[in-house]
Amino acid sequence: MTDLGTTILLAEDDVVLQDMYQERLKAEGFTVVLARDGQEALEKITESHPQLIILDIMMPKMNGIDVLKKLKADGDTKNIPVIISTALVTEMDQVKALLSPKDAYLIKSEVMPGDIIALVRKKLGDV
Amino acid sequence: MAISTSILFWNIFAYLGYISKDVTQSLMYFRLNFAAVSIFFICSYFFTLFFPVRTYKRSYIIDAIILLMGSAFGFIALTSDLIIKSVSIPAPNQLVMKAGVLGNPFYSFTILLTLYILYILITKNKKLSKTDQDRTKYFLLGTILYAIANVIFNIVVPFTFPQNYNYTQLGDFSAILFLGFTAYAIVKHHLFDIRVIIRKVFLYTSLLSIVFGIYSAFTFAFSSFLPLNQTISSFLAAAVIAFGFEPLRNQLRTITEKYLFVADYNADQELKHLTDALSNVVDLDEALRHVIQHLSRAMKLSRAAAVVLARDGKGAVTVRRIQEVAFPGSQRLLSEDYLPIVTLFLHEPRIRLVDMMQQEVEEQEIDDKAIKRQVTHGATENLVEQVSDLTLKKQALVLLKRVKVAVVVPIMVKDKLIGLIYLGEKLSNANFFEDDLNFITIVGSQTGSAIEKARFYEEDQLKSEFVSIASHELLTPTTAIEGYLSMILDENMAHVDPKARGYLEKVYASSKRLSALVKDLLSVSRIEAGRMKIEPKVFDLCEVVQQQVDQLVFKAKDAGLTLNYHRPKKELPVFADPDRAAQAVVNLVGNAIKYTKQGSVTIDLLDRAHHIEVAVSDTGIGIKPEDREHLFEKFQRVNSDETAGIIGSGLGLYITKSIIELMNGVVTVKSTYGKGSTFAFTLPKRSVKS
Repeated sequence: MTDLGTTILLAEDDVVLQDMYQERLKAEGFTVVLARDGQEALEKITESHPQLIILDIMMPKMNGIDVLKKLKADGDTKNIPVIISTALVTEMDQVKALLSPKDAYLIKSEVMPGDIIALVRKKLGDV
Repeated sequence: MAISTSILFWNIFAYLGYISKDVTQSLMYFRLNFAAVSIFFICSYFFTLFFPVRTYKRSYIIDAIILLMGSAFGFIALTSDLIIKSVSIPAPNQLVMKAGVLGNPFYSFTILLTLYILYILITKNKKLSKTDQDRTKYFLLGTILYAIANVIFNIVVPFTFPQNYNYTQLGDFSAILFLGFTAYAIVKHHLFDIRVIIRKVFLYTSLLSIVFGIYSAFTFAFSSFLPLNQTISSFLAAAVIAFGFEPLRNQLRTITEKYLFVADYNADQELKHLTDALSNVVDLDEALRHVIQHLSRAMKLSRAAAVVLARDGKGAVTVRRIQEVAFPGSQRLLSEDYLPIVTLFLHEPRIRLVDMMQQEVEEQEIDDKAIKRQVTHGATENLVEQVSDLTLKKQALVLLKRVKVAVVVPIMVKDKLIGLIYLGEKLSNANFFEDDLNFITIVGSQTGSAIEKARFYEEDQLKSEFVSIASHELLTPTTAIEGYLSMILDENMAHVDPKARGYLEKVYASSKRLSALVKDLLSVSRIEAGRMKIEPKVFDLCEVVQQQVDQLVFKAKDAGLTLNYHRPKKELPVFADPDRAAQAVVNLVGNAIKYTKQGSVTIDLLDRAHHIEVAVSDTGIGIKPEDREHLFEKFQRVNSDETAGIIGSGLGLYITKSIIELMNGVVTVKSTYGKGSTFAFTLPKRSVKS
């Protein structure tokens, strides 16, 4: 399957994980735009208009929660489905309230790349 | 007191002397007058020893001489005609006094003594702090004017104009000037605390009246009702007074304190406010701020600051944080230069008044001189210690005066000094009373508790932050390892030859084990720190168990076992945290699968009176009674032949037990070695409150 034309923005500060997720998503045919911190994420979202955002919580400069708040406050971006990714369950509590049914969250250490693809497809299908 | 009394008598007698028409009477009054004058001078002299601050460097010889001469003159004036020879009234309203042989010596004595007293007062005044100098300058001014007026009118004028003795009246009445200035100084500049004076006056007047009354009453009683003569009755009455005096005085003192000494602030109330304010505070700086603001407000202080001490790597004490109110230059208290103050308090932690320290230093200096004399005669023992203690005190004193601190309070925790509170003078310039010091001491100990609390909280925060960060860091690489291995082994996104595949499977298994262990450790540390978040709500336990079973069924299949879930037909609501309940189920079922070689794992839900019980039974290897004891402890694993190949961290049951107990449930185990085990946990049907 090739999904030319679907752009996904991947915001993740850890280089190794960034490579892995990018590798897996590209293998699926998605166009991947990378961001390494919250500020870059917002800039690239405005530039590239992705169909889906995978957003890490723990990032430098601006963390995922603040990015999420900004996205939901902006008319242009509030409807883009967001998948929040986090390493620890405890970080999730602050975020759950901000998520809409279109969104989702995953715990990085529990979800394998294959499962992430399944979730991505599900969220894109929901749009 | 004595001075005022003697001046009073002085003037009374002088007045009586003048108005008396009878010469002999007049003479007597004037003699009494002069006697009173002598008393006045003696009292004034001794007064200078206490005012403005106590002097310890006294020459006992001078004291003795003055006392002796004064008394002698007074006595002579009263009983003989050596000082006042006679009085005559040549014409109405005109009085002539003839001085006797010792008249001039007497006058010279009084003049010299006046000059000496003034000299003492002025030199002592120079040594005072600025605020004190303000207080006393009016008093001194009054004294000087009075002295001058007296000298002029009582001595100079009569000699130059012997006829006109009337001017001397002015001299005597210039005492009013003296009193006037003193009164002004008292009221305006709090020379002596006026309340203390009022109290003393009231106290002693009532005391004397009561004593006198009692004495008369008893004398009367004794002589009327008992066959005793006058002398014995008075003696007995005196005895009664002697025994009853002290208690009477104390009683009166308490009464006057209650009515006259309504404090500026209500200590109990202020303490309560402070306790309330501190109870919600865990931040160190905030706690310190509360304390000094309360103190400063309650006692109306000119400045206040609080510092916290810390020990550096080498164990040396340094001053860390500081909070201050209206205290310019308080940063200096943090510097090394000001360490002597800290050292002093480390040696001897007690509340100190700067004024008292001044006295102590002076006293010690005198003692030292005595010691030094001893040293030259051979005794050396504590000399060095005492001298260094004195130097320390002097250093501290200088520093404290520089920053205008009046009181320093140690903050103690478990007999260790952890901080200091520095308080400036009261805005009213009043002294610090015993009640004030008691209040401050209590506040000091409260501050100690508040600081301890804040420190514990800080440490706690750091600890849990550490665990969070550590776990985060550990999980990231394991996520990457598992992710790539999953892509190869689960999704076949890259080709590997069978042998490599075999090795990689082992790597995958180890990695999963590692990440499971890290997560378990994180759970354990959160449980231990009391930071395991339980968010209870009402939910259907059957459904949550089902969701986990749906995943676990694959695990069971991989192990060649059957997983049976006997789901009840109806809903079974419980009040608990669904994620944690799920975690417990996964742990128990996972264990069951691990420890069962063949057969099945069965899950039953039982409806008990106030709880729902989840029972996980297996047909596994079972547990020996001796192993049962330590089952739920950390890192406990059974080491036997049957369990040799089974992998686990030894933390699962400990975590399960902890989280179930946090949700008000219990975990139980029943087992037959060789046959199987049943692990069960309960959860409450509804919250404890409802």
